[in-house]
Amino acid sequence: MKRRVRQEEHVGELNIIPYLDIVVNLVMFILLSMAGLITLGVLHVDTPSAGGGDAAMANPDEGPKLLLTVGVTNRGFYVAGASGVLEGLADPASAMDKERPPTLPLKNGQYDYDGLTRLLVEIKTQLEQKGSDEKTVILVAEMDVPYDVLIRTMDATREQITVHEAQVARRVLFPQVSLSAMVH
Amino acid sequence: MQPPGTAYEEPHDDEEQTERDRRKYRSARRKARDKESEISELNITAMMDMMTIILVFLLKSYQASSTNIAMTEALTVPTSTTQQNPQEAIVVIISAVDVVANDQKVATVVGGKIPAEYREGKRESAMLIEPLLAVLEEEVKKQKFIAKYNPNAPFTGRINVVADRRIPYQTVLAVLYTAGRAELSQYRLMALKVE
Repeated sequence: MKRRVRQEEHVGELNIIPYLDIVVNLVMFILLSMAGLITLGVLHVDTPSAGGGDAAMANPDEGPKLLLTVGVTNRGFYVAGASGVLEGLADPASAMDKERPPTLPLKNGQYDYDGLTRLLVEIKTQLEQKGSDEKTVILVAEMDVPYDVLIRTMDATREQITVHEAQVARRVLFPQVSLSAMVH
Repeated sequence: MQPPGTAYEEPHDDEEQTERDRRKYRSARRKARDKESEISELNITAMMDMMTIILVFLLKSYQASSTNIAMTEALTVPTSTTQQNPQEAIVVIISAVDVVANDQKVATVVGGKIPAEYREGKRESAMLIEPLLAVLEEEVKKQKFIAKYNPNAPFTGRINVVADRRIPYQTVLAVLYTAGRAELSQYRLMALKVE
């Protein structure tokens, strides 16, 4: 009888404690490094070389293109569009003259992203009234504009985000961005 | 059955002895079992199951996020409100100190600009970054070769660009131009997502 009991004890259980140690450590380690992991988003942009000319020629049936252009300079934003489509917009070719004041100058040394979004909402509304479904914006920037400003300008031109009673509403403005270099 | 005389006493004694022994043994065994069950008979099987599943799941999702970028002082990615998720593609990282294409360092960055020695013809004004073009062309060749034999992996021409927030437009444009020359024209600028 004694012998049988001892045998039972011997067969008893696998010693999984070291294994458990390793697994728990791994889980902790991976969970921690996941927390440090960042969620990335992407912004689609088109070729820098795709200038206004090609876009205007693309679909002759659709009438004149707006060629909405946002210029980012170290003085502020210039907003321009092809004349004849919308009133009150400067022509893209002459809009970025150094002599002219920017459409939206810097505010206390900061870019006026909110003002840009508001202006583009107005333009979008006017376009919708005319039945146009323009989605493209040409982004022109000076050579020394930082990447951060570029991304935030794209954010401002892409959509209007309004928070109303904890409800986030997104109004799509001009999600298709064409990058272009400023012609000197 | 029982023989007379002293022989009677013996078995009684013996029986009593064995009875006592047995009782003693049982109580000792019970005590030992009780003691044992208090400490080492925790049922951890369920926890182990869970842990193993979590581990497998985490390892899998860890692997799935193909582009994980180590943020450093030299690489602070700007934030954006974009909702689109990144896809598998060639990654070019422009940090404040160097340009890395698919984990290969191709050029240094000095003051936000790529020095003339990396540019085409060693000219400051040239847009093309030669070592980057070489790496990208190599990668495109590889992708096209795969696409030739595997219709499930077509050549998309996608390129993910990650840049430090201070990098000037000029440098970003030079990288995009070089990528365009290597037939990678589906540009995706990467930024941190904010909700």
